[in-house]
Amino acid sequence: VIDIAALVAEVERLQQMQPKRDYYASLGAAQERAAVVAFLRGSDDDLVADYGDDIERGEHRREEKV
Amino acid sequence: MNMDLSTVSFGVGQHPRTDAPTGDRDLCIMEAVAYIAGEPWSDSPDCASPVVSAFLRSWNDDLSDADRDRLLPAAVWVPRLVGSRGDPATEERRAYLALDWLIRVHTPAWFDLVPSLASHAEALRALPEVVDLASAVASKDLVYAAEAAALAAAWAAAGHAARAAAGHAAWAAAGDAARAAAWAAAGDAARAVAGAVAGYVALAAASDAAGYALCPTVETLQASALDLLDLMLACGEHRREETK
Repeated sequence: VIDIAALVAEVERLQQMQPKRDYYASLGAAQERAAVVAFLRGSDDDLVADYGDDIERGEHRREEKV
Repeated sequence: MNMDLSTVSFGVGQHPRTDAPTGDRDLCIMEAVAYIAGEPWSDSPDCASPVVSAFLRSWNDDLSDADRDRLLPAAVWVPRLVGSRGDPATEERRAYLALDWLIRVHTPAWFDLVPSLASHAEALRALPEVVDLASAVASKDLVYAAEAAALAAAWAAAGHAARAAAGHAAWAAAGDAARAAAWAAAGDAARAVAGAVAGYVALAAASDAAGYALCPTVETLQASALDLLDLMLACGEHRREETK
């Protein structure tokens, strides 16, 4: 027998946690993305350095560097 | 250029050129460096390390105002950034410091939150320091395996375990593509980490943990990222001292 009330309560509990998870995950990703961009920028291979540009412009909407 | 760095608060993104910034969120950290150095208005000042600049543009924009003020006080960092551009060997060393931190510090710290990923955390920490192309490529398979495990754990936690197999296939394909060129392989390993680990682990760890459970890891990694920043800058500073 499925306890519908308990199931609903559990779903609601998980839904309430989602914003907090997303918030802290985004804070955690900040350092991650910065280090990735830094590493890619250090390459003398234009293709690899372009990955860094993509991440920077994609995530931060900074204009393309001239 | 006159600016009281002790009162400056950085803002997000690029800002319009101004001859007299107030320091009240009207410039980012790298624009402040260009301004103090007397360079044309830019977030990519010529005098600064391009590797560290990339790190800081990204971090500057992702941090909240409160965290940015706390972690990146202008009076501490701007003077060190002016003139930080290094020779190619220094910039390459800085780039590998960032990659090494990603692989051996950042990723394991997140994996510690999920019991099923503990062995991957240990394996990554046990890797030799990533200092060059050879060690970067040598770490790639272990990084991919760890990322695949994190992805699988996240999807399993989300009730989509069946999709994990597709995830493994995607990572394997990424690995094959990355073998095309050595630098591209190292770059691909780094891209695999970008924006992924925190999200995967947050999902995998969250079935019975509120978001607050992730807070200590975030704080630890913010402090650790500051250490990385200090290390990257010190790398060039030591070289400049040696050549004097």
